Amino acid sequence: MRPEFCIDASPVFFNLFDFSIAPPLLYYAYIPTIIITLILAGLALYHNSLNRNSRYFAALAGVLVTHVFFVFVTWIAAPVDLVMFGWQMWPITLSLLFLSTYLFLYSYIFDKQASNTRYYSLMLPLIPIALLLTTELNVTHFDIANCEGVSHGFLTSYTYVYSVYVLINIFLIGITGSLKPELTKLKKRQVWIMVGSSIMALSAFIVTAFIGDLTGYYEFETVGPISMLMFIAAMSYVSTDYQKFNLKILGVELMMIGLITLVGSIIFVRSLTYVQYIATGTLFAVAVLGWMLSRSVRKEIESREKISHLAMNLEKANTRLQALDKQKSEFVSIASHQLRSPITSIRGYASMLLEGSYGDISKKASIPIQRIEESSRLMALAIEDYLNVSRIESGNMKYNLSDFNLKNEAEKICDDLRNDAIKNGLVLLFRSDLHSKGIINADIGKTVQIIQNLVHNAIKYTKSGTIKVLVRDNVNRKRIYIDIIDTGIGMDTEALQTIFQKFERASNANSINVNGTGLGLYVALRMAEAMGGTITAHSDGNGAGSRFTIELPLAI
Amino acid sequence: MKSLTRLVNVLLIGLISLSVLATIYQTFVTEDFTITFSEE
Repeated sequence: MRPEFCIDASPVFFNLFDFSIAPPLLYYAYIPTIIITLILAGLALYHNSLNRNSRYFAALAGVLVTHVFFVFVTWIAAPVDLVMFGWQMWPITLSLLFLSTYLFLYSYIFDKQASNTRYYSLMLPLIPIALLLTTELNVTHFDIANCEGVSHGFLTSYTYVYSVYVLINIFLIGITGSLKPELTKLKKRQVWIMVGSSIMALSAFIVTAFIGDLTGYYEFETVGPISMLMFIAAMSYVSTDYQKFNLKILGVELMMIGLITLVGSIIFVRSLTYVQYIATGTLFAVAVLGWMLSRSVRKEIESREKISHLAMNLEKANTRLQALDKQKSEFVSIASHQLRSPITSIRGYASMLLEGSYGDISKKASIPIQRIEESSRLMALAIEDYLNVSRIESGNMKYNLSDFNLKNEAEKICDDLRNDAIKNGLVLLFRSDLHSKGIINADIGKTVQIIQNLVHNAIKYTKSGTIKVLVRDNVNRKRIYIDIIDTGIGMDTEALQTIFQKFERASNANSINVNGTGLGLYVALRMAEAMGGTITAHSDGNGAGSRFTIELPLAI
Repeated sequence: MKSLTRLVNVLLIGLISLSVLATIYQTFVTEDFTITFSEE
């Protein structure tokens, strides 16, 4: 007589299950695995149902749930038919679990579907499993005494071999994935986390099942779903939270989950009331602290990523600005060159007209011609400034170095400009206080240009009083200094900080001289620096006069 | 080539589904499996 239920079974719930048969760990291992996997698969699909990775992940989760469900039913089912059905389904659900893991990993790591060759090399070996599922090569018979199928047949061994074959293929994905040069370091690390955890989880499945088959102690199989649950959790984390994926966050969160699970299990395992109270308190504390810790780690990592992102953008913007600045310099250079020739002609002809080279001109006409001559002179100076700036910035400024006496040159400049000073009602004095001969090795033309520029400025910006040019040296430091001290309009602290920058002029400069380009001091400083010197400015404030000091190395 | 791949896929999935259905039929309808009593 064929029994309907397992011997000694006390069926409940529509006569389908006997919850007293299975070991307690089974419920802790299988039920949460099924629920959590279903939630994670739902979340993955909810986040992005059109994404191939999400669909493969959902398929993997579906197969895992089916497999775990059948194993669970096999454990707790009371009717013989149902138990037998669970035993018979084991080879196909296990193989599909391995195959779906492979397909998900391949799609995720290589961002494409597995090729036909790979796909069929793993799919075709499933045919014998499907064909032999109902035969005695799968489950040979049903052992009613132990209420379990007897499956030492061919198909069980074949399923183990197939599983190992897929595991090897997953390992190969890890190797080829990590060898891909285009993958970032982070993604390579992810590849190994995914491949490593999947191999561990799947190995746990077959090793525990194998031990169960060999020894008859099927309790070992309860470990499989737990490891698989951790793998699924890691996979869903990686695939849904890819942008924010970080090993540190994952580590902290896994540690917290582990701690919570450990403390949580004590509540159920220990029957002593006070232990349960303590465990509940600890569980609550661990959960709160864990949440705070993981949030702070996440925040820190996010802010660090933000900073590095901003720094990268800044670097890009800087490179772009430099390129634009270079283009602008080139444009100014070309434009200035084009302007210089006609201005020279205008100036030349205006001078010749004034000198009477083309016959006498009326007094009425001479005034506008004088204005033309003066304006073109100022324009030529401005063009020369622009050209100097573009030469300096493009690194094309040439310096012809030679030894010369700086004191003599400075004195000559003062002699030349004295008339201009007198015209403006100023006194221009020259003094020297040298302990050396005052010889320097520099570009004589550029040095003269610098001194002229500063003395010119002193004359322009001084309404009354004295301009003093003092040449002094410091033999120990091997430096020579030229101070240009005036009693002019002076500068405030703000102006002193910006006066050597391009297009910068002191705020009160326009009140006296509207023709300046704001480039003279910039050019002078750059030239002095190129010759190993510098220029500094000092003023006690508006109306208190200024002192400019040119510093150059002595050639001793 | 693409339609051939699809056909093979459908056949394979069909075969697996059929085998599951066959198992259900065999187990629950025909009850065609041997029941033994182990020595325990």
